[in-house]
Amino acid sequence: MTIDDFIEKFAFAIEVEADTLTPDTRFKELPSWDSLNTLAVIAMADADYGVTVTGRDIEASSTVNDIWAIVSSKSTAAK
Amino acid sequence: MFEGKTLLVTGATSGIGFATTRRLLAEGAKVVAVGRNPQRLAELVQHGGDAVLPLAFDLTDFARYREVLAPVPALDGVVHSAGIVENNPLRFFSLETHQRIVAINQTAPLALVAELARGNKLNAGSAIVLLSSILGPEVGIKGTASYAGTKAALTAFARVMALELAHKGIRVNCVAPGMVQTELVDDLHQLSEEALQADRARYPLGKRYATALEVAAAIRFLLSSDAAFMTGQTLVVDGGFTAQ
Repeated sequence: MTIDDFIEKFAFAIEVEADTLTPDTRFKELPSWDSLNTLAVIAMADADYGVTVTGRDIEASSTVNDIWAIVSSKSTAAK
Repeated sequence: MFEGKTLLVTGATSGIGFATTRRLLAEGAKVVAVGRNPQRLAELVQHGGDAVLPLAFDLTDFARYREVLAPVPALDGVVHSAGIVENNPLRFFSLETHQRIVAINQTAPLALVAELARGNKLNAGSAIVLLSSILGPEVGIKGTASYAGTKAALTAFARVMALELAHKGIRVNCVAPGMVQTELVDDLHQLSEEALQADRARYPLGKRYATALEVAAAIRFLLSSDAAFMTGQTLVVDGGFTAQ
């Protein structure tokens, strides 16, 4: 699993085109970002990586890479 | 108010079920306390002594209902407070998650009341209270279709059960709280204190969530003879949230 794969999945979760995201994208500043996106990212991390990401994790994160760092550090599948 | 009465409470070891159990015990009731965790049930027995009849049992083990409920004494009231909260957003819909939520939140109370009715365990004049929510019958929150559906179903159950059981003087009602300050709150949102504070600010009365005791007080009212002519209804306890 690479960050490119993760960006694809992250984009699917928050319903944007993957090519609009980079590791440095500050996802909460996207105009479409809302509370459902938080739930979707939590669900994606669970479904695709078997990892528990909390709402607090997302609140404390700024960029896509911040979330990837949490997911990849917790996931055996991501390594 | 409840001296000489025996009531069954599901989810008795935590949250609203625990608060309700304590309130009923304090008013002289005997409580058949249903919970999954034998240790927490034992703690409840320590608190309530002989007035607590512990029933350690997984309410989603439907095949065991008849056997488990057979020794339960005739009841003057039932409270279904057991339940789980999990998100299940459409884009990541999990049938397994959905069925897990439905089993405990929705199928269990129906199967429970059905088995108690079939076994003639409900005394004439008894009262049943199902713990619904404003989420489902009154409002929606993104990502919660599975949970909200179960809580809306309970308000329908209350109406239908009320009609089926009215000839025996048995009343069936729901209590529908908004967010309640219990451990489930943390499971649902897993939010920081700042985000929780912003959510609590949406409740006009006190800018806070309900306490479990405030919800237990509404349950206690519907169980009591003070609510003798109320059945098939849903009592909202939400600090004015749905008044907005």
